[in-house]
Amino acid sequence: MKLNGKQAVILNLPMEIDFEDVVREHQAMVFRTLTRLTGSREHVEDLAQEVFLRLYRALPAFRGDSLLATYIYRVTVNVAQDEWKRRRRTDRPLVSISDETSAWEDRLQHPGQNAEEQMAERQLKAAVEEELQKLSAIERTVLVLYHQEERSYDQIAHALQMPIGTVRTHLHRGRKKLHEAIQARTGSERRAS
Amino acid sequence: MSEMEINQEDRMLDTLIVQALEEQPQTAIPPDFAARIARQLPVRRQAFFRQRHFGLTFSWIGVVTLIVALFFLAPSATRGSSTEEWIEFFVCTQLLCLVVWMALRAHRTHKA
Repeated sequence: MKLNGKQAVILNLPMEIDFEDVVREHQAMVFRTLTRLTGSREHVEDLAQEVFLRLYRALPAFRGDSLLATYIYRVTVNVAQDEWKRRRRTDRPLVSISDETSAWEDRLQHPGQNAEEQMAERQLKAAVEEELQKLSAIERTVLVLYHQEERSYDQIAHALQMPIGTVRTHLHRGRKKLHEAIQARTGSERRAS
Repeated sequence: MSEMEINQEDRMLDTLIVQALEEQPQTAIPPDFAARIARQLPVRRQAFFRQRHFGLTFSWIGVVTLIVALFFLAPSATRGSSTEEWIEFFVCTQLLCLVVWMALRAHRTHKA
């Protein structure tokens, strides 16, 4: 569906752009962010669909004072938050994305590493994934947007509608909690072995 | 374990955590995802505005009223009463202003 002139102007897009192109351009980022934020590959397609439908509905209200990508992150985070609430209501346990399939950690192995190192690295990644899901929603979101999506403090502040100082605090606190949790895990694993 | 070793281990762990966070999860996006979204979009009806020209209507009413007022004021003004002359002069100025404004407005509309 073609965007009309006003919609295209507020999005800083060429006049004759298709919404389908907007989806195509941002779908990978939306899928990635949702996968990490929800900690599961389940329903990601439905959630991504919801993101783009909400984006389309929100276009007239979008003032164009931020990048379209930042605006999409805001919609994505809102959709992820709704999903967390829904899960809490239905009491569905969070499933780590590393548990479901032998997916991305396996494909990211370094060729130079020996089996033991690879195993340790895979375990650490799985532990990071698991501990990430235990953080508060806001800390997890800030960590994902900063590290995975490489957004600046300013963009994260825009997307989450909070001051930059608060973003920094959540990032620092999130990293610290993650560090402590992983350290505790590796410590107990060492003691067990 | 010395403090230096602990610090080094901490830094190493931090680096590994950041590396794990920076890795992007692989996602399976259906090839027709964008097309499917585009098909599901609700058709947005363009808002229809009927342009109303209240200003212009009131200007015309004003012009007619002022002309009528001038018509009634004319006999007394010619009698030489200075107050009525001033009122007539005031009404004339208003009429002139209104006509100039309407002419400029018509010119702008025509240009647009």
